[in-house]
Amino acid sequence: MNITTITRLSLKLLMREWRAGSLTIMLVSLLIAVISHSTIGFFTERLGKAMEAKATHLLGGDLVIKSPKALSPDYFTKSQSLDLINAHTIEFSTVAIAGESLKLTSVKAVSDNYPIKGFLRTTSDVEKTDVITQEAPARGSVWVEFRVLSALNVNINDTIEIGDAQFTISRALTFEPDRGGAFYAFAPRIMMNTNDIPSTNVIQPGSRVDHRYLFVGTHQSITQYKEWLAPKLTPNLKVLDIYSESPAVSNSLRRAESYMNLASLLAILLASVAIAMSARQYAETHYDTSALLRCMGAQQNDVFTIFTIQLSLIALLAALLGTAIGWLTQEGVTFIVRDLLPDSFPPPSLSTLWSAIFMSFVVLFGFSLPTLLRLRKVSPLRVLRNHLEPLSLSGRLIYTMTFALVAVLIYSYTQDARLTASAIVGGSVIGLVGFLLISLLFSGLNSITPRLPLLLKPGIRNLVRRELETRWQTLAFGITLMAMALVLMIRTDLIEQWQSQIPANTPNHFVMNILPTDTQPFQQFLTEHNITPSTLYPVSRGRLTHINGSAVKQAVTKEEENNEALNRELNLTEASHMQPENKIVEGEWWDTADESSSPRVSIESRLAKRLNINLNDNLTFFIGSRTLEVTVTSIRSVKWDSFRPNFYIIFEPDSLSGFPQTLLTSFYLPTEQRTVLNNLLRQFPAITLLEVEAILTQIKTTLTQVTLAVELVLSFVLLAGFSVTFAALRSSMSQRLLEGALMRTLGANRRQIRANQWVEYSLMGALAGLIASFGAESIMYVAYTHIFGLEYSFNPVLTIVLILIGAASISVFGGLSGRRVLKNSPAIVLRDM
Amino acid sequence: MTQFAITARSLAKSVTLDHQSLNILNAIDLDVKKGESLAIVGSSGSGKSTLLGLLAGLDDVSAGEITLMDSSLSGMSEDERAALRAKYVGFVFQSFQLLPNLTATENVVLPLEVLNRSNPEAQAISMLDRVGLSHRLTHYPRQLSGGEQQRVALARAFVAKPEILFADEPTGNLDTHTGDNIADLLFELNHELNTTLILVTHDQRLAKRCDRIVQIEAGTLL
Repeated sequence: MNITTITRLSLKLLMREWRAGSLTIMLVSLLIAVISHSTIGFFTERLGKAMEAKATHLLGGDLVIKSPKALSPDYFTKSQSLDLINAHTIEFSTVAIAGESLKLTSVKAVSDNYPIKGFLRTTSDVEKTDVITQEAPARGSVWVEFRVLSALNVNINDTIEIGDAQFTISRALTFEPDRGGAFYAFAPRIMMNTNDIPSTNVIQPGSRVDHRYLFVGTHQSITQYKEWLAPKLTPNLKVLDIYSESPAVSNSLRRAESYMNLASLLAILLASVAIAMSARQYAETHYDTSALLRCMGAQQNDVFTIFTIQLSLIALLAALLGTAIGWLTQEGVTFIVRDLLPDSFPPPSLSTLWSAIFMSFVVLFGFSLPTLLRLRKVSPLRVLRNHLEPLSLSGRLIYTMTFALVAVLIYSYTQDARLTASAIVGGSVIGLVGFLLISLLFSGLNSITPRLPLLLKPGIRNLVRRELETRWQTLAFGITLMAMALVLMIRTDLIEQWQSQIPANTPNHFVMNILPTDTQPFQQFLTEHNITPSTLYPVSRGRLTHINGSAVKQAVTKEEENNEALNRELNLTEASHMQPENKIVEGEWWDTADESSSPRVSIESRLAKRLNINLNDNLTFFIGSRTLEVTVTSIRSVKWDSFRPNFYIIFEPDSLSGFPQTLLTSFYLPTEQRTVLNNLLRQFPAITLLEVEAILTQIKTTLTQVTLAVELVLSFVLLAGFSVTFAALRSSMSQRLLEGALMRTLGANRRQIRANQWVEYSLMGALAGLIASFGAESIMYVAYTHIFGLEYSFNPVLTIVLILIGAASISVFGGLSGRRVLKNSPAIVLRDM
Repeated sequence: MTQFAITARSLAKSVTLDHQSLNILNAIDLDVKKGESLAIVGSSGSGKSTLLGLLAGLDDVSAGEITLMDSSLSGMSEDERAALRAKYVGFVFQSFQLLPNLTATENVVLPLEVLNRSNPEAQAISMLDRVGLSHRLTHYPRQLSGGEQQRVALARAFVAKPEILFADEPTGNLDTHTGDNIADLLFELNHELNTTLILVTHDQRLAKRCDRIVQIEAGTLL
């Protein structure tokens, strides 16, 4: 047969098959896979872009270079050649003066075009709410935080002095996008124009200043610029991106990304199971066609090509139709949740269409190739002997092909070879153990059947009789339930974890520098205003000078010489109990008093690693005007994104007594009670107040969006799960129809057949539930401890719930799809078979 | 060119079941002349369908040699035998073997499409008209009676005008009256097109309508 004839014949047969409805299951399964892939692809791509945009707002640009010195002109020549827009900010500490009042402030001088990402919020009237501001302060004027007003006892439109220059306070600054989550920025903010810096004369050679160059441009230009920058970077010159700046946001983004990838992968794999099942059914119903064509003289390759063309067309149709539906679905979802999304929600790109076409072909051919190859091998002798089945491919070949394909799919989603390998190994172990468990349960069922009530016997016998087929079906249901349970459980835990990260009433204000003598009245003030503070931590400011007797600068590597922990005073505290978000990584927390040696300290793990500090090392601190030698007895991990006071170094109780101390605390204050702050600052002028409400709000919004995306992804996994269930049930339907018709011919009534179906399906579902629970717990253990960094604990309720859900869902689905067994007349069924 | 459509020499077929060799056919010698009609009769399990399969090149022989239209089947691959079947052979089966998703016309068109013949629909319709089914052209097999289905199968078998027609119990699934009608049609078409007919049956009445009868028992021709 020449290729034109083959193509024509293939198309004709396909059209006839389509008309007869025999391609429906395969097309629907593939459609579900493509729709979940494309909807998730389109939506997460857009959401990812939107979240990234939001995160870059927090950073102030798509890319930020941080440097202690001004950059040389070649940096800007390059950025201009790439069409990048850039803005410049300079931060430094200086004293602001108003009349007799002085205040150490953190000045941020900004170029005229600042902000280039996000916006500021300011107000020209303290009594009025703030407004979005997208410009920099004009020359000669400054914008200040409220606490500058209270500390200097001035108002808007008053004048303050910075260095040699005088400025008018034209607005109060309530939010700046690129302030980030750096809580050590204690001094209140004053924002001015960079052009005013020379007139102040405050920046002199050797002054500690922090230049930030903010760049905005297309993804491609930014990437090119980043590549150009890479060899120029030094420990002093840093490039910041969203992942290095805001840990709270970036952790959530990373977890959401991992989750969405994992969930869409599961949806695809589940749909693939459905496709493999329907492909097998497709092949089986085409053995006769293949045999007949061979009998008429068609070559093996002709037959193979005929079916390959058909599958290619199905794959292409599913890809195009699925992507179109996927696009519409995500548009619908975007519309429904429009209030939660940012104003400019970026449009989806075409990349999802290409990946959907690729995925459609890979999944359809990959999972149907073993059966397609069998079609090629059908003997023409089958026309004479109907029972003659084609030789199966070698098990080793099928398994190798399937494993390779699953590995390709997992890798394309995770881009992580180690994770792919562990998923494959873990999946195989679960599959194998599951299959053995099912076999064991079946033989158990077989031996107890004679002792069971008459009503249950036929159903159980049906189940055990179709042993191999039922074992695979049960395993497929088990894996489906497992995937659904996994995605649901991880979603719940992730969302809970996010919510617990920023629970209601998370402190939105930090207060530092509370004088010990003010402690009592300060607490009283808060009580009077119904404010509940968190613990009051004593804080001594001190510098780490020696590690094991060597001066720190010599003790650490060259790169760490500029570590901020070494170059500024640290907040040192003492505590008898460890904070709840902290966890001991090495050593022990002090439970008992130990007066024999030098005072004990606990150090934060990342700092310890960077400065190469180990357990039992001796550290020397310079606090006030004295030195203190201490021994490291524990190393802690700290959750810096918990929005509670946290410390790099904690001393054992009483070891800091005698050194100058202030206190630090945090509390939650509703926005409407904000006026209380003015009174607080007036009554306790020495304190430093830090508002983090704006950052909290931004993070909360991001988390809400992430949660939404997670829920959407979940619904697709559930849909794919249902498609597997239907495909699996449909794959054994012709046999069930025949059996049902025979039973009815032999005199069984509908009630008996229905009862048998219920017993059979609910048992199968319950077994599947058991397998699902085993698999889900194993995977959750690995996912929680290795991917999401969450706590794992065994959940016995899950096992019971899965068994019940398995039994209920499979019997309902089975009952629904088995209605034909009861509806059609036995005569018609027997004739058609 | 010989006068024989098929010759078989020392034909044997054995299969291995549970590590034991089972002989299905032994030392079969058979010549079928072109245009001749031959009936192979025998009881169930005698090996007559196996012999048909081997003669038609649907299966490999264990020993011996078959020549079909002057081509030796020995050493031919399955695909080479398929090419030979396409050129010379037609089939009629006891269970009709119509494709359920194709209409009567589409089923008859199929062998013409495999052969890449021009204008296959017209030829198919004309052949269906010849077997008396011009009113059933667009019907699916399940909408046809057993007799009608076998008529479609006959139309399909003869439409490509094969040199040799193999028929495996062509009336086996039909009642006597319908079976007789089908047999009439089969022999009519056979004469019209001068086809060599090799027919397997256990129906003595049908067998007697052939030019020659051979009987097979326990894998051996009597």
